[in-house]
Amino acid sequence: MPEIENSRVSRRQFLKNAGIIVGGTAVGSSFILSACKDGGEVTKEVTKTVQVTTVKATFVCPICSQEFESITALSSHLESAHPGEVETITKFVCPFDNAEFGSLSELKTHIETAHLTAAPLDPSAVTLNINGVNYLVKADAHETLAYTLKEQLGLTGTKIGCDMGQCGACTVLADGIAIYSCLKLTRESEGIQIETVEGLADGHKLSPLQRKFQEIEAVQCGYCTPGFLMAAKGLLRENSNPSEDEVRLALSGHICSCQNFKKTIAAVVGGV
Amino acid sequence: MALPQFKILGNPDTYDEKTYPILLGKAQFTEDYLAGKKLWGACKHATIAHANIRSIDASKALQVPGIKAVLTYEDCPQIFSREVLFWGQPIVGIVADDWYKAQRAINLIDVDYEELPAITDPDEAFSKGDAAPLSGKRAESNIAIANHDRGNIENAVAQADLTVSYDQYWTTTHQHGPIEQYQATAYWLNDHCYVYQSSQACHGNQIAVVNYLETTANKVHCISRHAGTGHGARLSNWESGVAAYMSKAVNGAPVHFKCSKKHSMLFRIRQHDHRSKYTWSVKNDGTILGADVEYYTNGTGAGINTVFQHTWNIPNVRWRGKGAYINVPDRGAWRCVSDPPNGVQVSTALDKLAAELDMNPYELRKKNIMPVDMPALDPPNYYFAAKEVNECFETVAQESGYLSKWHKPGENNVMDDGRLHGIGIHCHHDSHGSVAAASNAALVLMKADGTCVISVGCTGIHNTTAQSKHFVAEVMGLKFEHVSVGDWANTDVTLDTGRHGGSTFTGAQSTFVTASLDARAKVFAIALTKAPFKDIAGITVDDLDAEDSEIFYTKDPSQRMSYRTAMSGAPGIAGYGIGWAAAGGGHAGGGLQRSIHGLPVGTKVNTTSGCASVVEVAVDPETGEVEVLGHWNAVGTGRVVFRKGVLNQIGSGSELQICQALYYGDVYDPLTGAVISSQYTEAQLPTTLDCKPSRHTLLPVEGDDHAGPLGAHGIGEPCVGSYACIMTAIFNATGKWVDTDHGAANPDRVLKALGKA
Repeated sequence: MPEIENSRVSRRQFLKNAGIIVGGTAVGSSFILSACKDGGEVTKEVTKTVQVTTVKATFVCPICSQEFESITALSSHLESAHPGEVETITKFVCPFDNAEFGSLSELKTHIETAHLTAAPLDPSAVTLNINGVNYLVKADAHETLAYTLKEQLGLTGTKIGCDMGQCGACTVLADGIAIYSCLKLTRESEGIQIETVEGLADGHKLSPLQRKFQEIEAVQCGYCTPGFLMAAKGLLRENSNPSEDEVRLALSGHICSCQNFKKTIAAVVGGV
Repeated sequence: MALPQFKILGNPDTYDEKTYPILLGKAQFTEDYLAGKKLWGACKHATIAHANIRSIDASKALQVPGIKAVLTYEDCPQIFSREVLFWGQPIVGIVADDWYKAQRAINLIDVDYEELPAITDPDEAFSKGDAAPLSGKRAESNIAIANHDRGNIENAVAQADLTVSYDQYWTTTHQHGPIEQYQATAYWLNDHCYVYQSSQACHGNQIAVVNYLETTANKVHCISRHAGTGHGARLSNWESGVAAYMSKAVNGAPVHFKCSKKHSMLFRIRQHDHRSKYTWSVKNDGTILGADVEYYTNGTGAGINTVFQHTWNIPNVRWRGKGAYINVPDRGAWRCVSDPPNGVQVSTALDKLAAELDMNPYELRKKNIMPVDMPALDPPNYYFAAKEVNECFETVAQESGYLSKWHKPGENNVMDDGRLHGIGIHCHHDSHGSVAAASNAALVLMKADGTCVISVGCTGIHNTTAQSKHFVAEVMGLKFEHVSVGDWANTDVTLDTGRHGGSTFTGAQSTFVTASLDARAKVFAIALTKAPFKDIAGITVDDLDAEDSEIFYTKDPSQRMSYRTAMSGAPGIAGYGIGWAAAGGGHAGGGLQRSIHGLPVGTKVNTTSGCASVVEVAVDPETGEVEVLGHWNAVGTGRVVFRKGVLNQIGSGSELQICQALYYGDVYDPLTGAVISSQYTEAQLPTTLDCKPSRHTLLPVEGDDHAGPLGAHGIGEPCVGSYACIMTAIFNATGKWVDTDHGAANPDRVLKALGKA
């Protein structure tokens, strides 16, 4: 799945240019990297982490490892406790918008005025884990997960058939449980592992469940199919060899207005 | 029946490639286009059954941040009418930067109505006639007349041993409730309009939008690749027109217009509801001499119907049809159109007659069914290229064990668990299943690698893409996987193949047969210039054939080359073909393709599908619940093209009709005509708990349609008679007829029929 970056800053760029430490993650010069809290481990986390997420910043002195809650405090400490010991950094790059500044104080001012209102304390900023990938989105309070998946993340496999929790077309798995994403608020979806139909296949290789749907031709118009697939996946995780009655019960939260239930049930009965 | 063997047609292992993107979650329905890059449109709906709109005040709505535009009858009168004709009619459009804002703003629009007299009960319209207030749907009268006469009904009465009348109840009416909401997305580039709508008929949609916009076809571009069911109702193009106007109102920015689920259920067309009075003139042995029929419909469909007309050998008919056009949501096309309620009306009347004569309903039907080789009894008196209803009837009776299970209505019917057993049988010649229908033309493109690409004009909803592939592969002699669908339902690149509906109408795909024959001849001509064929003296294209993507010399099949070799170095080949219709019409080369009934090739004929059903039920006399113990559906398929698709259609259509009989039914407020059942739960759409796959037996009856390409014809949506069978099965179980009263045979109504409610 494509990664959606926070404010268009790539992790690679941020690492290369920034001279500040954000969220406990080391960025910037190798000197700072090595001096950061859990330096080597931080390096690994940096290469793995997709997003720059700024929730709470911890600023660590690269020399004595003392921790500070703000750039200002770290800056003052460096000047007073370690004059001349820190490699001069001549370029300071904002991790949010790549703007460049000649001093730390200039960067600090920029962050405070341009981003602090939108970043860490903005309740509309939500981190979603979709099919194993983290995305940072901004969502209004009333926005549903279904809407966010489709309109913000471009994951259009999930369908919105009724928008009121009756048809099941919007079904996704939340921590393995089938839910209607049209009834789940995006802001309440943080910290949950969400799985959508796009995550079933391995690239273009269909999963065994999808292959069975294809072989049995358990698809007519196809609109309800993603919802059924996710509900079926949730069922098969709990019960790998369900009977017809068990399948009928597990899939009963779905409408198929083509009335293709017979084939859909057959595709799930007995597992894959 | 022994049929010629085909390699691709009917092969159980073929597949529909459109399922692949669906399974991956990549298939794009209307809502999926331009994700995150569009504005949103919604409609306000009338809350009165009949009125003129005096004024619309959208000032408060326009003050809501994010509201971009409001459209009324003043902006686009062909989209929003000033006259309200039913409760729920869309009257104002609103465009906003997100769906939630659009919904909120709707409630801030004030409409001032001048209320007009309304009529919402069809029986009231029929009884009052011209004395009833005009609904506004027709200029001079609420009632449309549709009469038909055959033979002399008075003679039939005079010759009969018995003349007896039966009234039938109103069948159900309900909105289809398609899972995909009605919606369209449109944007403009200069004076060109681009529209995405989940339509059954992409090219038909284009024409409609052209008319809405009063522009030309080259400036309207439609895409309808996928559609979330809604058979019949997806022929509506209204949403495209709305989206186009909404986009125009915001300088061509993309607008996604969506009817919410609730609103879709309110106003979109629903299944016709019918009632009738059949007066049979009959001999004591069950031979029907005449049928005097009063037929009443809510809306369209009052005329004599195929289900009655082409099934029964009744020499004298007087048909008096009346359709009431009143202040309720329009009736019209629905899956299977009006064949299901037509079937209920005639089958219940037949079963009443059978009971009167103390006959088994099977025997009564067998005595009166039209013979296979009998032409239609009404002008133009065409013969039938494939009359499968007879074979379907016998098949379903045999497979279900009907004769051994049948008992007299209400007698010997108590099961071990105390419930009442019943069984019903039905058969009819359907209005669907034609050849070619609105298919016009097709292109088949051969590429340099010897594979083939086609484009199909119709949405993939009815396996049209798969059907087309089958014909091309079969006629070209290509491997199935060597034919791919380049695009479908895109008016910019697909010819008008299958404008109206999908494979259910164009299942015969005659356009692709002729296009494939053209392409094949051209490729064979190239092949003749290459070894080994070029070294064979006197060889012509007629001496070549193809199979498994190899072209071979028929007189010495060891002399062969691959399509790849033939096409190597050659420019791309395009085969072009137009389709034909069984009854001729505007297509060349129509009518019979092979002789039948002693008729020559080219004779105009009828060619539609036939079907038969048996349903076995258990009725709980204490609760009124009806359980379907088994249903058998035999459908005349002609030559089966896409086997998996056929089985899907028969299976799903049959289940749908059971739901029509037992669950579906709009609920109306009698005072306002308002639809109360505007949600899935209220409309009682079934779920997997209502469907037991193991009880269903699918019986495709494969035939050979002599007017169809390679013996094929469509199978309708499909043609099944489960609805009719349920009603007669309940009668067989209880000895009572359930007054369905525009709704379903739900427990309340069953108990009422039993005198317990």
